[in-house]
Amino acid sequence: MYLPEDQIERNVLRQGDIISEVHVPGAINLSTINYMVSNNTRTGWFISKPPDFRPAIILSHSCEIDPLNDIKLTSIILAPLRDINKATDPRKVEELKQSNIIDESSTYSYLKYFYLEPNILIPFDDGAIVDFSKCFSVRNKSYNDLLSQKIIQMREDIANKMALKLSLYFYRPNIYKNNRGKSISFQ
Amino acid sequence: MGDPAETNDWPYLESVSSNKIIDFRRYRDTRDSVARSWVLDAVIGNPQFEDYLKEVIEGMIFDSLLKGQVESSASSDNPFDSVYIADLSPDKGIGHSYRDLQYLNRNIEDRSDSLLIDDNLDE
Repeated sequence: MYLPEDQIERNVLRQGDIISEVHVPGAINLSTINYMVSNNTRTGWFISKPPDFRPAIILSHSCEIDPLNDIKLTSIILAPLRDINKATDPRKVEELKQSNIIDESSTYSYLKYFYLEPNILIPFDDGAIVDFSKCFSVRNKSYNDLLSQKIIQMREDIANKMALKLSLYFYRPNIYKNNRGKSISFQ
Repeated sequence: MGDPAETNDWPYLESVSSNKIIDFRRYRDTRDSVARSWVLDAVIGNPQFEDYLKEVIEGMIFDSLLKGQVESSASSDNPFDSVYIADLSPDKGIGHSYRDLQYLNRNIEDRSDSLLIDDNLDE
């Protein structure tokens, strides 16, 4: 699943790179923000909560964030890794592992998750789960910070399989109801 | 030259009769100790007040840091984009067409909702 250590590209970020520790901001609760006000203008804000640092994986496409491409996007998308041993049903975990890689013969899968095999550099003994639903972004100016904490690089074929699952997770056919209440799917 | 408050050298007092002046300095020690005692009682005896005080002090510290940053570095970078959302872009590198995605989507049952992870990220 991962490149051998001597083949890891240390000077560039790729889709599927695992970052040892990132501040995961999460979705904000607007009512918990404290605003600094000066002359009736909000000049700053802060939140009284300890930061949540976790290992994370790069979801942005390699080309989109490549410095040679002048980093076209303004932000880099990541998703936190979750400890597979914290999953509440071991049978579902086995199903996730069995259906992790999707192809034309797949009949079921866990589209929200991508299973990562154990690695000595990942702080979860039995492997990790990438949770696409928890994705977040940081500015592209964080590139060097992320690069300095890159610990693992995924094989390109596996990264492509993860990207396919990511696409399927976000893909939803448009479904509308006609004036008689019947669902119409545009596929 | 001594402290005007101690020596009664305030210029504007020259025209005021001394028997009309209340010497608050005589009550200073008593007043301070009573106030100090009240504040301590309020803080120790009221957790809500303590939280409030903590929030106010944190706010003052943050405000001070923020002002310091603004004054010391006018050209500092904005830590945020204009929008705080993920910058999504079509992924062209995976070799699957839109029709392939539609085919897979129709034929794959998504069981994601049945897998729960108890690590506080879903709260």
